[in-house]
Amino acid sequence: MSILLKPIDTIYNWARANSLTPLIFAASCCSSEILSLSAYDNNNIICFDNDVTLGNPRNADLLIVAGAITHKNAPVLLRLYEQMPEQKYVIAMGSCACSGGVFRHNSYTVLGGADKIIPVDIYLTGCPPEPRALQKAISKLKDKIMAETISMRTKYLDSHTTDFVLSENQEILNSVNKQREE
Amino acid sequence: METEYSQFNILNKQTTKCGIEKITVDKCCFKKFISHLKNSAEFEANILYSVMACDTSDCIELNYNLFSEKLNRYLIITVLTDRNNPVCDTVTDLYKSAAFDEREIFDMFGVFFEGHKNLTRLLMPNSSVGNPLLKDYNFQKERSVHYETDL
Repeated sequence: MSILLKPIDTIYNWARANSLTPLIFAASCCSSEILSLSAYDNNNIICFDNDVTLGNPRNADLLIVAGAITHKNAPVLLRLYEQMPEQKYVIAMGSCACSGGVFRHNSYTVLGGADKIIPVDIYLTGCPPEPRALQKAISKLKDKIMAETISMRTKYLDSHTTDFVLSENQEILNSVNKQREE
Repeated sequence: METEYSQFNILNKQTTKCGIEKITVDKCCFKKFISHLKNSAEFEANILYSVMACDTSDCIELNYNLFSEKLNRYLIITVLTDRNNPVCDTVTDLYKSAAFDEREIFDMFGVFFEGHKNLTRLLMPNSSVGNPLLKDYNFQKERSVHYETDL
């Protein structure tokens, strides 16, 4: 079976890995490094094609989380991740998106890492990481995509679902309001 | 200056290192005092730069930074509010720039501004509990946040 799937996998993965369409979630200063990347990587050899329209979650396969995620920003990030079509990948760019960075301890606004709400494929440390590091992260992600097979697709889908659900029910909000009144 | 403000209940008066006058006013007549400063021909305070708050474990101190273009002079008005029940009058009807500052102070210190039209949390999510810049804020206990549906 795997012998039959091998050429299909290769073509399928090759097509996906070389046409990554990014969605940039620019939370803070790391996003300026992405701007400098577009000047740096002017031949688009390693990174994504600049002709594609950016900033549309419905067409994107790669979410680059650049910067510190606050509690108020977290539902927006989660909603954007849910809007992206399947086979989606996430790069956490910068120390703040990886673990909370300098804001990790005793912070009332900053969430300790983007991986608390969405699954992250590549962690890219640095404060901020330089454009070359982002290039390397994307090439690592390409290697990861090339290693996937169609037969393991369910395993992939299980690992890429969010544990967090936007609270649809009013009970949680009511309990919070009660605490506030007390 | 002193004869001018004698009708108000002024608690303390000092000058900072940069030469800015800092006047501490009683809470009951502070609104009248600011409107007097705005409307009087002598000190025409037409700009409110910022409203700041400070938790000094006895009370919550509110500082209003005023500026007069006519005299080219700054003035700081200080009001002390009770820490257990912090209530203060709003100045949004005099200065519209105070609206966001007062919302932020309500968020961070829990000071309730009477007469403010939209007094909701500004920086923290609506579902969060506690006021983070107060000295008795418990980070471990009150940090967990529930997210709302209305984005």
